[in-house]
This record gives sequence, C-alpha cells and structure tokens, in this order.
Amino acid sequence: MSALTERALAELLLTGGICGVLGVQVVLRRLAFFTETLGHVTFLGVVTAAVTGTDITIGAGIAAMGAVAVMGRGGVASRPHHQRSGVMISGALALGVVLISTRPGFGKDLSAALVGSPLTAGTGDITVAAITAVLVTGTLTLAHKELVLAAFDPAVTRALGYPTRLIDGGLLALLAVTVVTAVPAVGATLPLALLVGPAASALLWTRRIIPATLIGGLLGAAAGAAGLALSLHYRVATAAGTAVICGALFIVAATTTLAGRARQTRLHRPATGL
Amino acid sequence: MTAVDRAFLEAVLLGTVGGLISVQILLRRLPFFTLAMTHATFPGVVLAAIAGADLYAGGGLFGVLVVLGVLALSRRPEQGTTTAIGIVLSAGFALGVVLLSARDGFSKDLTAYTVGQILTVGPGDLTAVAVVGVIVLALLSVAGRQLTFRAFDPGGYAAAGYRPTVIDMALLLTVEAVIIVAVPAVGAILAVAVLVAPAAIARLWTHNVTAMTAIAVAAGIGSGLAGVLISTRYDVATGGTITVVTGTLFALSLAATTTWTAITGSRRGRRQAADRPASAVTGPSHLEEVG
Amino acid sequence: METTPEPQVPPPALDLDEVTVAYGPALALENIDGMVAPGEAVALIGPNGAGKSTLIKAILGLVPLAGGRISVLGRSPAAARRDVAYVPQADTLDPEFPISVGQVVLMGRYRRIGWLRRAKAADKEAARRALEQVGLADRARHRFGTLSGGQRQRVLLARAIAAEPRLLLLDEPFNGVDAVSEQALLDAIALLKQDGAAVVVSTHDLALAHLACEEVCLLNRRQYGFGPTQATLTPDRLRATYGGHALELRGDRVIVAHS
Repeated sequence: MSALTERALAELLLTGGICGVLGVQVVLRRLAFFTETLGHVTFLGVVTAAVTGTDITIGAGIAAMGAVAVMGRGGVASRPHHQRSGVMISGALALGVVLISTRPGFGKDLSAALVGSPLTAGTGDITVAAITAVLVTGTLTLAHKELVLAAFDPAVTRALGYPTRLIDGGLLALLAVTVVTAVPAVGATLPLALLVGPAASALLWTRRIIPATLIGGLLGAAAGAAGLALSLHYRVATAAGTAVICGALFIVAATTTLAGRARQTRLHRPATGL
Repeated sequence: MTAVDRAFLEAVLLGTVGGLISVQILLRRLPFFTLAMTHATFPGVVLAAIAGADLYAGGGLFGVLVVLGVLALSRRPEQGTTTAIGIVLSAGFALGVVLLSARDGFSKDLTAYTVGQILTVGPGDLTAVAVVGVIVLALLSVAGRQLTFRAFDPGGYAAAGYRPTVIDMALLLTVEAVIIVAVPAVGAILAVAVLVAPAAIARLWTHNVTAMTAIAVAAGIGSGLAGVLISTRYDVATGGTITVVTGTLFALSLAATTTWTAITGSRRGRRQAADRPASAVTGPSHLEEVG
Repeated sequence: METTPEPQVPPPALDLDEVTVAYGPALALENIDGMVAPGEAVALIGPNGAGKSTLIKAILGLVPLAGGRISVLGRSPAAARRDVAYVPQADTLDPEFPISVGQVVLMGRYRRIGWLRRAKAADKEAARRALEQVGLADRARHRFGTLSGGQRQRVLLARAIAAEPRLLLLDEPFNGVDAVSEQALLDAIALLKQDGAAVVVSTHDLALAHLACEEVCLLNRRQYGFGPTQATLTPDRLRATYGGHALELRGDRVIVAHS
C-alpha cells in the first residue's frame, strides 16, 4: 500500500466514522435538508478560498458557520424553512460554479470541488479529521442525555431551564465542523450520504440510540474503506463510490427490516388475535 | 437562429415552465423532494449517454424509478421522508459520478451534466421544453383546483372522495418531466433553482395562488434572460449565472418584503389588537408545540 | 438567598399579580391576578386561543411580561424552575422517536443529575416509582411511541412526578385520553397534591375541573373569574368567558358551539 493510499484510507475511515456517529443526531432531528444546504454553502466557501488564494479549511469554516448563523436561528433546526433553504441550496452552489468558471481549467476544478478528492488528502487534512473526531465523540458522550432530551421534547427542555439555543446551536456547529472536514475529501453533495446512510441504516436495525451511534460509526468507516477499495479496483471516483455504498446500505437495511417485520406480524397475528 | 438566440428562447421557455410548476412544488412543500429528484435523475442521464440512448428517454425512465423509490423508502415512518429523500439525493448523485468517472473525459462530462450548457441547446431541446410546457399547462388547467385542495388539506381531499395517489403521481411525473428538459440547459444540480426559486420569490409578494403563478413565471423568464445576457457578456457559466440571478431576486424580495412588513406591521398590529377578537390573538413563541 | 431566614408561613406556590403579556403590540393576557397555595389545584378554563398556554409559559418564565409580576414559591419564575414541572400534550411529541418509556421518565431527573453526569441508582429508583404511580410500571422497556395516546400522557406525567416538583403545570392533559388513563392521571395528580405540590391544569372539561381542582381561573385574554370551583363556574361567567358564543350547560358539562 502506497503512502498515498494509506493517507486516503485514514482520511476516509475517519470521515466515514465521524459522519456515521453524528449522523444519528441528524436522522433523529431530521436535519437532512439542512445538511445538504450546509454542504452547498461550504462548497461556495471552498471555491471562494481557492479563487482568492486563502486556506481552504478557513474558507469552508467561515461559510459553514455563516450558514448555521443564518439558518439556525429560531429553531429552524427542527423545522427547516424549506423555501429559504431551497433557494440557498442552489444559490450557493451556483455562485460557486460561476466563481470557478472565471478561471481556466474550469471543468477539472469544479469536479474536484463537487465530488472531492480523498486521494490527495495530506497530513494536514488527516489531522483536521482526527481533531473533529475527538470533538464529535467527546461532545456526544458528555452531552448525550441533554442532546436526546432536546431532540425528543424541545418544549420541556426549555421549561426545565436548559439553554436550548446553546444545545441546538452547538449541535449545528458540530455538524458544520463535520461538513467542513468532509467537503475537501468527499465534495459538496456527498457528505449527506455519509451522514445519513449509515446512521439511518443503524436506526432501522436497532431502535436504541447508543447502539445505533456505535453501529453508525462502524458502518460509516467501513463504507469509506469499501469506497476506496472500489476505486482502486475499478478506477471509479472514490468519494462517489463511498456515497453509493452508503445508499446501498440503507436500501439493504430497509428491505431486511421490512421483511423481518412482515414475518413478525405474521407470527404475532394469531397470538394477539388481530 | 444562432446559438445565443436559441439560448434566449430556451431561457424563456424554461422560465415559463419552471415558474408554472414551481408554485405547485412550493404549495406541496416539495422543494427538498424536487432537489432529490434532480440529483437522482443525473445517473439516468449519464447511463443514457454511456449507452448511446436518447438522453430524455434514459433520464425519464430513471426519473420515474426514482419517484417510485422515494415513495417506497418513505413508507418507513420511523425516519420520515426527509431521511429517505436525503439518501436518494446524495447516493443518486454519487452513482452518476461513479458511472461518469469510469469513462474518459470525466471532468468535462461531469461539468456538462451537473451545471448544464444552455449555449449548446439544439432545436430538439427546444421542442422538448415546449412539449413539457404543454403538459404542465394541461395538468394545471385540468387539475389546478384539485392540486391546491390536496396541498391545503390532504385529509379533506381524501374525504371528499378523490384518490390522492392519482394526483400525486401526476404531479410528481410532471415535475420529473420538467427536470429532464431542464438538465441540458442548467444541469442536474442547478435545475432545482428553476423549479423552486420562482415560486419562493412569488410567495414573498402574494398569498394568492393565481398571482403567485404569474409572478413566478415572470421571475423565471426574467432571471433566465438576465442569466444568459450576463454570462455571454462576461463569459461565465450560464447555468450558474441564471441561478445566481434567481437567488439575488429572492434575496432582494426578502429584504423588500421584510422591510415593508416591518413598516406597516406595527401600525396594522396596533389596529388588530383593538379590533380582533381575543381568541384570534396568537403570537410567535418558542413553545409553539405546546398548542 | 441563603441568609434569609425560613419564613413562618410558607410562600404561596404561585402568585400572579396583574400579569400582562404582549406579543408585539397585541395583548395576549391582561391583568391576571390569583394565588395558589401548596397542595391546591387550579384549573385554567377558556376557549382556544384564550391565553391558557401563554399563561403557563409565563409561569415557566419563557415569555417576558409586559406588566405585573409572577412569583413561584416566593421566587422569580426563572429562579424557581428546578421546583416546577411541566407536562406538554403527548401528541406534540414525535411518536417515532427511538426512546423507551423508562428513558422518558428519567428525563425528569436530568436537571438534578446535571450536565456531564450519568443517572445514579437513586434517579432510576425515582423514575421507577413515578411510573408506578401512573400505573405503567410494566411498560418501562417499551418504546414511547408504541403506547396509546392516554398512556403517553401518563408517561409524561410520570416524568414530571420524577422531578419531585412543588408546582406542576399541565397543558390540556385530558385531550383525547381514554377513561382508564383519565382516572390514572387524576389519581396521580391527587397524590401529588397530598404531598404538598400545587397544580395548574389547563382544560376544556368542566367536569374534570370539578373533580380535580379546588379553584378555577376563567380566562379569555382577560380574567373572568378566579375562585373556588363551585362558586366560580356559573353559567353567566362561562358565557362571558366564551364570548357569548352559544353555550349550553348540561349537568356540569359545558358545550361550546364553535370550533
């Protein structure tokens, strides 16, 4: 295994793992649309940074935090403002495309920014991913019960005197950090697959949050490794391969649990007399 | 007819069709679903290109499968539709990228399919948009009232003896048709701007469905024309420019209407406080869910 | 706070003094007055949109007052939150959320447990006892969403009980609840009152107000009466509260002929 492949593997394992773990919160709070918007805005940040020659992580970070500040106000997190997000989602992407198109080598740059390039991950990228991993697992462990409470019953969380804005804002900021970590590796649109696919599959297999989080992390990391293997063997885009695997995972999970449930209902029907 | 003429014509047609259908998408709260459909149509278009088949037929067939797939996945109530749509969106797009990346000239093709090339549309593309436009007009004139009813009160619609599935399928298939004809011009990932933003702009200005449709069509055509004009003048990506113009229109509308409400709102609010029956007084609250 | 000597007479659980709440320029509540002693229950009665939920939010300190004062257990609402429990309507919660009944009840202890700490055996025991009080001890491991509407409402009451509140606020707890659950809710509320907790419950149901509450507060933006249940629930007052809408009294039930 070359140093290049090793770094790509490390990057994909870390990114996949983080996304799988945090994804459970995304699924519980139905933040898929928000995550996609975040990905597109981060894409704009990456492109702006590249065009102006600033550091890409800083550009992406500023853009993502800006998106959280604009869209996260007033409990948008739980009920997305579809119209505003819908416009933001395409507007940010389009602005990025326009910016890139001002430069020579338009197509190549755009592809890299859209679908990521994990094979060019450097030590710096891996360090960022490792820090994000510590941040995400640390926060989820330490604030587990508060996060679950705020997701389940926002009204009572406020009534109990919890700083709900801090909890919600903290989660969104964590999501932004994760997306910023993921975008250079997997591009603008694909973090969503990594965040939602493994976690949603895990939540179909178990209805308990902690096991689902662990399974989600493992599945995410496995999808990253499998995506890399796929790209090495069949020479297809690595990050996209990872995302397709995440999607396939969910389809498998949905079908197997559906079949299991059908069997269960059949077994239970005579017993309960329904 | 030069390429630029065709681009202008395409922009006008697409603006009209997109504006018309966008109102229905917004009323049914389907922007995210539409986004997923645009992304998931992308692998269909790529497959058709690889197989050498007709782009519209390939994309269309795949799009229908996507509609059915999302409907099937969202039957799992545990996670709601959002999650299923998110997965279809992201993984569908990724599938398109994987398919494309197996070929040579990856970057160039990817660019064409994701952000479109309105300057290369041919007479066939124009005809396709026009045909879909006729379909949209037919749907709206035959079932416009039913669509609004269904959007406003799903329970009541079924109770009134209508079959919700029929109208839902009709709407979703029409949306898919619009997406497919929009892809050559604005690309798979920017098509959502044509299909969502015009109505989002119109909604800020009016609550009336008919007026909304008119404004949406005007906004669609206007941003299409302005986009082509700006992009040919400054030599930047056209699909992107159209979308940026639409986004700017939305931002300006938002700012204008917010200011207007702020100015008139305080006056109106004082009058309402005196006139309205107490039971109608409900305010913004963080505990909305409480009831 | 620590230096003040314990007063001879305990402060009222809830003291409303000319409470006024405004949403922008519109008044949601105007000059509400009243007092609830420990161990007493008061029913908030009024039509939809009368400001019942707003008053509950104000007592929780979640909406700012445009005028007047609320004191909870002699303190400001924000300072008293630890001793106040709030029961939302069960149908406002996501039935698909992957959480067990036991976990929901344990949430009542979260403020006592504090940030960054795990639940101790004592917390779990308190949650178990609370679930027993609402008659659902055998359901602790079931998923919240698998219970019936009435049972979910009882679980939410158990969560409030687990917090060991001195003031309990319930928002329409009897809406769409079956008879068994209704009785279980009433029993649990009675038990809390015996232990000295005060209860505020918003409801449409006059019969339940008679059963569970010593006092009622008639509310429709303004206050149309506050006092002992029997004396306050007069047809005239009710008609005034419900804004002259056709209203019929049959026994002690009220039928309001508008949506």
